[in-house]
Amino acid sequence: MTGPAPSAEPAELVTGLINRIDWEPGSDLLRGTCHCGARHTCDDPVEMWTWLLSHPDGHRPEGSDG
Amino acid sequence: MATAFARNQWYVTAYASEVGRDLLGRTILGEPIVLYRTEEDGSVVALSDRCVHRRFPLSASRLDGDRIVCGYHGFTYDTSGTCVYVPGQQRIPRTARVTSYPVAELDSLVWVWIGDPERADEKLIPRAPHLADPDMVTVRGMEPIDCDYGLLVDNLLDLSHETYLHGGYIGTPEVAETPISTEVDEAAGVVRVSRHMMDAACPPFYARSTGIEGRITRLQDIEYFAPCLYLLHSRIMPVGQTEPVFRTEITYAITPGAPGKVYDFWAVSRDFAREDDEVTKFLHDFNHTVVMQDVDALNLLQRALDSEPAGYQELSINIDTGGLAARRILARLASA
Repeated sequence: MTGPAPSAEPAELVTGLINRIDWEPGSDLLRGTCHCGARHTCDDPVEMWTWLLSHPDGHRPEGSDG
Repeated sequence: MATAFARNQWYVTAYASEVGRDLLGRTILGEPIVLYRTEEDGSVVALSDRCVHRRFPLSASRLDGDRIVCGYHGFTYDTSGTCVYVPGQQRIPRTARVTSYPVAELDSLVWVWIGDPERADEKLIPRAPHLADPDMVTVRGMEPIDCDYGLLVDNLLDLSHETYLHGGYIGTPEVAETPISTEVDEAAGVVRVSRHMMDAACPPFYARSTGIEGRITRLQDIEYFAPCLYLLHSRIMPVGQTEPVFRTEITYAITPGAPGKVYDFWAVSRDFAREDDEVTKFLHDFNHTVVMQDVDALNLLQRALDSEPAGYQELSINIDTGGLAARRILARLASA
């Protein structure tokens, strides 16, 4: 087996991994960006955090909307 | 619902300037603590504030050199919390010892570790270097609030309330109207909320301290290091200009005292008008007024929540994005 050893911690508990939510100016929309690069748009911060913290479930490759 | 306490964390317990040769009592996460500074080397000592004998508050006692003599029956403790004298007998019971807390004095703040002392690591303490920066002038204070500490976290993570609760002081319409960006480092327990107002009215807080008469660009960048330290990096400049930049660092330490009680340590540091004592007095008095607006509101809010039936509902909207992240991190730290 090659590559780095799997982390003992869930990915979300590795320091330095940033989840980001931008409130789109001029709208009520929130745009979330997971530390893996997956993106999601909605208008409810509770739903957005639920999506971000569900990583990797439902998180598509970097750049595409989840 | 009460916000659970997070143990095994550092908490701001006092300003360094508050701790001297008078005994100071504070209660942190429900633990009564007495603080003093030694004659020997000026270091800060933090011990349990209850005599082992009959639980008399040691903070209401006296110092004999670097030892505390209980004001009730004279049990005497050294700086490690070990009882070195009991009245009328030679034998000192083996269990005659009060808890000694790890202490760190950094950036003019006295931090106390609440939890397993073996896990106390000063490198975990978030920094606020501006508080001790000779190139900045700082005014500060502390107000106890009778509310769940989570309410103060909520308050500070969502500054849109400035427009309504602090209108005419620090709030202008643009604060509530301007969208925010939120970044969270889950593992580090850090929440960052930015609100950049490119063309905003200048509130009296800044107009009177900087002398700016027109509109401003106002940048608010929050960093919350859960559970205790909150930094608001504020930069303002006349609108359309890149300088001069007026830098203000607004610091809060959010220290849970007991269930339903929180210490609100606040400080305002600035890099402008440093020699101007009038500005210093103005910022102190003005910010104290602002803090008291929060104190009154949170006292009221807590009383209202206390009268609600269990399981009451809230409604969160976009302005709450940072506060929601903070709540989750606090819950995780409390369950760790």
